[in-house]
Amino acid sequence: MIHFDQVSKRYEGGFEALSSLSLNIDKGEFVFLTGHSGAGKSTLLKLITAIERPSSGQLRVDGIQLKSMNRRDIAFYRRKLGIVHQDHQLLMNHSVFDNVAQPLVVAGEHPNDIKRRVHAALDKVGLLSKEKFKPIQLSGGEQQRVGIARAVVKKPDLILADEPTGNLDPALSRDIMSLFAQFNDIGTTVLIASHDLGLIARLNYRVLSLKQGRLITAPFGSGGTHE
Amino acid sequence: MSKKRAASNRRRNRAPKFDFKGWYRHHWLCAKEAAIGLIKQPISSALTWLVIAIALLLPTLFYIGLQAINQQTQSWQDGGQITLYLNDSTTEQEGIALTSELSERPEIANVTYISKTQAWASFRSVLSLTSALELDGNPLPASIVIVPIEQTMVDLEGLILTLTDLPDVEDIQIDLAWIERLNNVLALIQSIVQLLSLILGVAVLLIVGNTIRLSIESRKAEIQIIKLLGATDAYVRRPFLYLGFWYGLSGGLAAWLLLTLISTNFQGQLETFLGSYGLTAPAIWLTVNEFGILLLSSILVSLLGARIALWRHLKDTDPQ
Repeated sequence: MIHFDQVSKRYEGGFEALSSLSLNIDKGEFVFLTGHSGAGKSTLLKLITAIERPSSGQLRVDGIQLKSMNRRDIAFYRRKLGIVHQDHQLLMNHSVFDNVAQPLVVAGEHPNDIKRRVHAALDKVGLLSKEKFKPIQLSGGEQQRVGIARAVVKKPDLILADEPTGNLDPALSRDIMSLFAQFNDIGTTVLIASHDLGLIARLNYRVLSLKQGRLITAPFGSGGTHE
Repeated sequence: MSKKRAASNRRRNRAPKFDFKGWYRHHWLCAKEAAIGLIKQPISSALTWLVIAIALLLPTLFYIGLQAINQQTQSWQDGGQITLYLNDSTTEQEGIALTSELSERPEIANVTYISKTQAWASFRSVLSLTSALELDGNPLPASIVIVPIEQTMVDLEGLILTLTDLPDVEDIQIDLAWIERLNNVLALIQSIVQLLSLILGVAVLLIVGNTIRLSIESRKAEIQIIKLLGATDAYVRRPFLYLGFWYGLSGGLAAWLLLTLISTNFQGQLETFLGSYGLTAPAIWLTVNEFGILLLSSILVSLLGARIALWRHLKDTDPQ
């Protein structure tokens, strides 16, 4: 699903966020991405979401060469992704319902379908009763769950999450992780960047650790290296 | 290699089949939301409409004024004439023969022969002379009045040279200079009006462009979010283009409203004023066609302003 081949990302000023990174994530995998802040986690996610382009190397997602995409290609490519942002990235002057509906509206779905699917997604994150609220009226954890509902509402091929449980209490974190696991069970590829080593350790998924823009371990099926 | 890759990308990342209903729905939604957004901020919207309306009203008034002047001067255009005063020795037969000869020339529209007797009669009637002034015989010469087709000196240079060289002609009086000056003044006014219209059109473009730019700036975070959710550029632009459309339409209507106000207040006054000079006042009004052109140009200029603002401000949401 995701193939990095000698991918480097250098920013202006010479800082190299990723150095000749090669990695492979198969379709249907559930992978955690860890590392200290500044290790390159966010850069890696930004490359996959085509917010940034690699400075060198090849990056393919679902068979698509990201480097050679034009603006229109990027738009259609992103519709296959479900992205959960660390800072939620919600539309603050729209209701919870409108926020979750946004990926479906962008794709031109029928209003009746939108309503049904948004309600299903909100039900999964336990926010159905707050669909008319504005994000500002919700707690940080609730906003995070709105972001998650928005990421999964289209049943994407690939879910990317940057610290999705950062603001959630342990019980809620487990619920959210099991939600991601449910999607993974039906074949969705999941890539989660997280600091929460305790949580990662409890779940028996593959862990990729980044350090100064390089991959330090990529064991398959192990419980991670930071236990 | 890269060509092959691009082709494979296209295959894998094919845009979904064009969904006309979804597209239409989004157009309708954008049009509606842009209109509601404008109505929700009535004061700032009305100010923008008023600015657009004034910028449109001025060229419209110039246009109406220019139309009126053109119409008025059209009837003066034929006043240009050349008068040939004939030698005293030229007989009436020779004069009439010369007149019919001149009427054959293509650059002459109309020729009239005025005999010595006619000139004398006309002179007497104009001055209401009875017998107070008794002269020995008729001192007035016979003359030929020529109305040429072309009314500028440059066009008539050849004709005037020929006429001056005629043996029977004693003197030639050319009464064309004022028409030429009038035409020059009219052409100048027309150029000024066109220039001012252009400047004011650019002003509308900038006003709408700037208003849309502010709107884009205030929604930049939102734009970035929906682009991450897979919105195409066209989708992102649509609400702002509709905003431009509404600004154009309502600005055009406001201009028409102002014109109506001016018309109801000043039409009577203008008629009285011009009437005292024996002139007919123009109607401060637009025909249906002219009104259509006003609205259409207002909308087009506003859309262009919005499009330029979008073009300038959507670039930084591209991948780096």
